Amino acid sequence: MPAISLYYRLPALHSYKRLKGESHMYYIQLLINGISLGSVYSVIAIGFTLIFSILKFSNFSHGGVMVVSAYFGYVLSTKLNLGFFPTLLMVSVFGALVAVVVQYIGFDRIRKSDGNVMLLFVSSATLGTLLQNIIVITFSSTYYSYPKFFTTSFVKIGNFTVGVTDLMMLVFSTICIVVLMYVLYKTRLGISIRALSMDANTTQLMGINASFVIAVTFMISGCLAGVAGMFLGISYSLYPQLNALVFKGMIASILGGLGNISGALYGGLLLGVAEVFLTNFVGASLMPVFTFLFSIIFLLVRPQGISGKFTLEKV
Amino acid sequence: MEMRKLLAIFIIVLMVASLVGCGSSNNEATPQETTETTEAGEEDVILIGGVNDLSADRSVLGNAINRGVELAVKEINEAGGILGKKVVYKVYDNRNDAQETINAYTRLCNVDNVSAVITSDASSICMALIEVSGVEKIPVLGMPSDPRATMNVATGEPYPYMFLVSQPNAVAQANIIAHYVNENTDLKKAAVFYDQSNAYSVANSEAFIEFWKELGNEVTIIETCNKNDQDYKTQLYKMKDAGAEFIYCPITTTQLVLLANQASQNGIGLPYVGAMDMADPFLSLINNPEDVNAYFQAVADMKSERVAKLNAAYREAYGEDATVKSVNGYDAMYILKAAIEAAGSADPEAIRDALENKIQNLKILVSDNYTMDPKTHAPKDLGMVICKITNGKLETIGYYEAN
Repeated sequence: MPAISLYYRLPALHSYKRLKGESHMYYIQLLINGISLGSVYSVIAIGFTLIFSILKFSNFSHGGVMVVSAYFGYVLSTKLNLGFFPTLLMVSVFGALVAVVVQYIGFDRIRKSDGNVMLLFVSSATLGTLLQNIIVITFSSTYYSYPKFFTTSFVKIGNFTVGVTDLMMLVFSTICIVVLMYVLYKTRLGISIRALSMDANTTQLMGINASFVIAVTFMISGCLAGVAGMFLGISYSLYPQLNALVFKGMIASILGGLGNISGALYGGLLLGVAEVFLTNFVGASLMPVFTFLFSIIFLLVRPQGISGKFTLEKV
Repeated sequence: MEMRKLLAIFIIVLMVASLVGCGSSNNEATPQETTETTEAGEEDVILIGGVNDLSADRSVLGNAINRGVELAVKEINEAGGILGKKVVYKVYDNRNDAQETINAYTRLCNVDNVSAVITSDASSICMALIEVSGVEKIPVLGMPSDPRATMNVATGEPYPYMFLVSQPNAVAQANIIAHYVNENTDLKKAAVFYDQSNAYSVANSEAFIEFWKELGNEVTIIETCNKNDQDYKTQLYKMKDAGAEFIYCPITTTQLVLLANQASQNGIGLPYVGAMDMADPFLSLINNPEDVNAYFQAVADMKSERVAKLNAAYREAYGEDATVKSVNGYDAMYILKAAIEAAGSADPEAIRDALENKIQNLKILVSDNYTMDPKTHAPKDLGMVICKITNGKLETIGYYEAN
């Protein structure tokens, strides 16, 4: 059996050879790719973090909401021939509704009965799997692709190429994050959400309806899951295991500082850029190992994450 | 309290429903007899076993193979059976699991008393049967692309009861496409992109690299991915940047869809070579099929007259189009029929000997002169159909045999 030579098995050697003779343009292109990948991680991470900051548990049903919404968008765009913007709008609304239903089925009763936070965690993992399996039953395990939404696939900006989907992903992720920041920091609802995340009991004593605020938080989180799911479906392809990307969101939120919204934003971007550069330098095979190493070293140096603030996790 | 109970019941019902939907069940593999049993004794029938993935992640392929076998059995029985005996085909679902495969094979050998077993195209599944087939001594016909499923690489000897049928192995496939591209195109500089967690992808890529270099060409870069990777943009930019003229990519359909979509989204217009899964329905799954140019090899031309009869029967029986995997299953049953007829009995040992030495110049769907190589237990000099995609238009070039 022929064998691949050692030179080819060590991508780092390859990269070293490339580094010496090439312009910085290539690396700027990688940076663009990393930021576009990181923007989706950021959207996932923020949705994940929102729930964590209030209920203090890792909500793995977020991935399930993401997948169900992505498939909903696929149905709208292929069966009803809806365009990009109407589909995105409907998907975000659908994601919000699914997240609220999930909240009522999986978390509301446990929370009201002051159940162990571990129960919330188990319930979220179960509901995530359930949503994924509903997709398997409905659509089978095969893969689907969104229709072509844009007339051009990529745009040239100087010497750089940017995929239109990536660009849209970056733009809409940014819009989502800016709107969310505005809501959180400039509206009464945002103040209620932040107050609840700091001290639930005191917030309720102040007359704030915790159940309502939590339901709205889940809606916002589901809306972000819908946006992320649709962009993932367009960029990659649709299959039930797409919810595994919620783990990337979790890593990003930890890097950013658990439970911190702006930290989740930076964590997602950092993770996306790190993955792209690590794939380039050490190869796809070793990239996951180095990503985790990078995360561990980063947290050893800065355990509070990028933001410098984090919420203590109960589970 | 009432509400809580209702919710709990609702969730349990949904979970059970989802589990039922995901797979057949969690109990033992369930046999399915696909031909009607006869009232007569065992002497009047020839029992053939099947082990395939009918419900798990490779079930699309496993069902296609299994249905090909079923249709061949039906045809054979309608034409009078084999040696005047009716064929009964009994298949077990292995859920693409090696241990389930061994259990099902053992049961077929010891409880059902089959004469031979037709199994999967998954190399890992076939390799799981190497040892147990030597114990049970019932021949296994599969379509594994990894040569190690039929040959002991250390000794160079074939495993006595393991046979690759109906398609060349990964090395032969790489040889065919490397020679074809070298002889018929101006492409010289290859970027190789393979899935390092997939035995077929690794074996095929390694072989292609050697053949391509032997032919005086260049491999400019080798990039890898893993089974669950989503983002190939970095590898695509590296391959483009390395000056490659094409991407050699023996990867799965899912991965090809990701690769082609992301290449298109980033303006990377390199042609693809060697991606067998670029056959239908690949083009229908990508966003910009007009950006795809490719050369690849296939077991059969599914639009040819040659497979029209199978196509029609398949559509009538299952309501969908046949795939190359159905051709594999269909041909496997006819190769087995030829072996039983050559052996003159349904004795497993006689069938094994016939499979090894008496399958010569057989006319089946994948070849007019299909011959089993006794030294490798794989088809001898079997060519493949070369296909070309030009700006999203798929065409069949023709049958090609490499030296």
